[in-house]
Amino acid sequence: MSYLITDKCIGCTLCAKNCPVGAITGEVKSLHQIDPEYCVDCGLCGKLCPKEAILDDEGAQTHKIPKDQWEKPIIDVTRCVGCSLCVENCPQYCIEIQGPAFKGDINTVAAMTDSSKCISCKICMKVCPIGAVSF
Amino acid sequence: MVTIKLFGSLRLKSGCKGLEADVSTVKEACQALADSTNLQMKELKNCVVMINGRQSRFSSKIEDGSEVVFLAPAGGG
Amino acid sequence: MATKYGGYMGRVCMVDLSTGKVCDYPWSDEERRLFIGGKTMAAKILGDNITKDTKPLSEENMLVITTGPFTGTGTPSSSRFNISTLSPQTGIITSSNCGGNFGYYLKKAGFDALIIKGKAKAPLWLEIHNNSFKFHDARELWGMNTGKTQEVLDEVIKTGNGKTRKNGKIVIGPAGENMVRYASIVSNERLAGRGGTGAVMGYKNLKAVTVSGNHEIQVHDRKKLDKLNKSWFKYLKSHPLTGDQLPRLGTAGLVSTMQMRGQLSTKNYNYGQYDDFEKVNGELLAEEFNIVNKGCLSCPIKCARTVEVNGKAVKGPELETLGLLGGGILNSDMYSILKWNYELDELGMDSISAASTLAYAMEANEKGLWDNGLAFGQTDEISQVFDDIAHRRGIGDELANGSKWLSEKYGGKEFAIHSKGLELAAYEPRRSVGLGLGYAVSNRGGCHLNGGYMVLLEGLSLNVDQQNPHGKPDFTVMFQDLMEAVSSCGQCLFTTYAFFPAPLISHPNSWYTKAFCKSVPYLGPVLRMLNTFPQVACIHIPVLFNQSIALHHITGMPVTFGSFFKAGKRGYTLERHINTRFGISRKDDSLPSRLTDEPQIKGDEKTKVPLEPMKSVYYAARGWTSDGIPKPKTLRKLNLDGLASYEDTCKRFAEEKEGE
Repeated sequence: MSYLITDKCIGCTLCAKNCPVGAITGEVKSLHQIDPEYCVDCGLCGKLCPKEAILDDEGAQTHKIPKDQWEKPIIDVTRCVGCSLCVENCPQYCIEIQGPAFKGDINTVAAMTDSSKCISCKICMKVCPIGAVSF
Repeated sequence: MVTIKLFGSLRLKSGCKGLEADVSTVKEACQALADSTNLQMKELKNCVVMINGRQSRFSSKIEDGSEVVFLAPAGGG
Repeated sequence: MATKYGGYMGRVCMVDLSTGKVCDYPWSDEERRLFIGGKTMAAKILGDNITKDTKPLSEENMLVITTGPFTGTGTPSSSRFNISTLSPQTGIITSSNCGGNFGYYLKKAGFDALIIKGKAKAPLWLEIHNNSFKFHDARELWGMNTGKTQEVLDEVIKTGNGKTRKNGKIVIGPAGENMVRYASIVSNERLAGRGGTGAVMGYKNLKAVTVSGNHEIQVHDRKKLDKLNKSWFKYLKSHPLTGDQLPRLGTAGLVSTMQMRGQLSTKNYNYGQYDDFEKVNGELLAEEFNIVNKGCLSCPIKCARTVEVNGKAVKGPELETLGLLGGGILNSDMYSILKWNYELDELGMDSISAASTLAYAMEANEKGLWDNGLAFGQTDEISQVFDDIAHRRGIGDELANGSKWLSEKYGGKEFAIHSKGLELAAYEPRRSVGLGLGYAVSNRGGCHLNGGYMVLLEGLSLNVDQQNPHGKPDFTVMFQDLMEAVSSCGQCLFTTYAFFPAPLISHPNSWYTKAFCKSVPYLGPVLRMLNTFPQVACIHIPVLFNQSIALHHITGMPVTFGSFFKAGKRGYTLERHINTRFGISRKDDSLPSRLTDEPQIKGDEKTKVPLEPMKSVYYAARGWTSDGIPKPKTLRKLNLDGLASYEDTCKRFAEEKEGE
């Protein structure tokens, strides 16, 4: 599935500039397009679009959310086993497995390295097999 | 004197590679280890103990000059 | 070609490098149910497409890269993928399992498996994104080490905004390019090590494959699977093997145990104990060298080590490498092993076969059979030797053919430690006779995992009598089948350690552990019943063996422990059935005479592998003839009797194409 840009688009290029996987193309002041082959359903375009011209993967209208209201993931380190599925799927490269400097302790867990990069796409929550990530 | 050696996760947990002690049974060897490291008697009871390369029991006697090895249960590769 | 089952992407694609054509390979739901995926699926595909005349290094040979239904569903340790092909090392079918992320991304691109046949005219690499296949010139990458190649590819595979697109890769190093018979295929830091898959890729002039995509992996019952996963992860974390031993020490932690049990191969399997083992054991690795635990994608066990070599954090050695490059060649310098291990990974070579071939060469030199300048304990120039092997220079050109080839040329077959051409892992079978049988009968040659891994019972975790052959053939059959089935799901075999209830392992001195160990030799007949009629076990074994339950939740197939077990049996027999085309029979299920005729402890006749009598029992337990050929009745019972011939497959293909 993929997100979709409707003809409300004014061609401000904001989404294209910010798309983490570079799936959006389009000239200034013309209708932009999302390539369904590359879209990872992160929803960043929907959060940014000033004209709310974007439909999500299920065809529902998305809404603009100011950056300071984006929720950040909370990783429950008591549950996390460091399987790194979230790391592999994070489109912003902002989660990493943080291992203890190995002396006795054996647990490695995922942690956010740069929360300013996080776009609140919730993919990490979706892929976590044991529900250790919440928003 | 008896040489006691630790292997596996026991060694990592206690940070102790082994010690020399004057003991005559495996039980006493366990006690000696429990006294000088952070290992509990209970953990030591659940180890494979080998005296000079032969697996032995908790009550086995140890002759002077022997090498006693405590192995934590191991896995696979 | 969609599928009604969850967990699968429903497509298998075939790339012909000779013509550059890409097409879908027909794979039905019936086949999904019978062969699940992974190595079993690969065996079926190979079996349908190769004839007895197919040569490993030829255009007709295929690289079959398969995933399992578990791959990418979040099940613990399920990122593994399998590469099967005809091995240039053994001439028969080989399968190699790898923990890199290629399989995960292959599924994200929408494919369950990728088949590569033909041969490119010039070096190239293949970029796959969803349904688009792009061939790129690889002349600039040719000759590059595996780490560097992957870095360069990451620079090329960019998204529209200049970031690296998340992708999975398989690459070969110089060893694969020069068709070293035991060259590996590398994905991240993990290797599909054994059997020479890298040489086949090198022959095909294929330097690398990258794959990416944005498909979602759908499962049949997400809610139930999530619930199962939660308890499964928890159980693995609490089990003494998967939650403590492996994370703390890695597989390397076994060196000390093997030493104590006389199972640590030393000086090319002359002895079972190494005096300097404390300088090359897992405890030292953990205390002095390990920086952080690492693991494959989706794995809670994290058995991989990270060490520092030349100021760079790299993957640490596994047990087999430590054993064979340590005691195996009388080397007592840990750092040198870390360095060689890294170099072998970079060159793209199997460390087990490389080390064992080296040990053979050292002994051949010592015995005056082959003057090659190598000697036990002399380790200064080994780095150079490995580099020479990978580039086929000087004696490296001959070493690159493996110990079987060398022993045929120079003699000394009794100490060329291989079975069917594949060198044995570091476990000394004379003090673990069950594994000795496993090594000999294993489908891909001397492999401990394909061989049933009886050594786990014979000293590593439990204390079953190491020299007593009774009951072991039946256990071997059962373990081989279960491991085959787990492997075909795309899951790591380490999850099967949980099959042994935790108290059995954490309380080795208790009455119940002792009773179990004592009873193993007498359990043969009981297991024989289960081995013969696996379907009677129409139950699940929750907690201990979650795989069959997970397979049900993921795919929606009707699965029980019995039918899962039977699927493993089917896979194992299928590989054997295909191997018989190449003339494999009882005579090939062998070990070098050092292991079967010379006792390890002088004067103790028990310390050798009583192979022939065990083999007879083993064949009977499998329903094979006394010559080791699967009986028609056995094949029929496992739904393998109607196995397609090569001609049938061609016909099926032609029909499929007409239909499109």
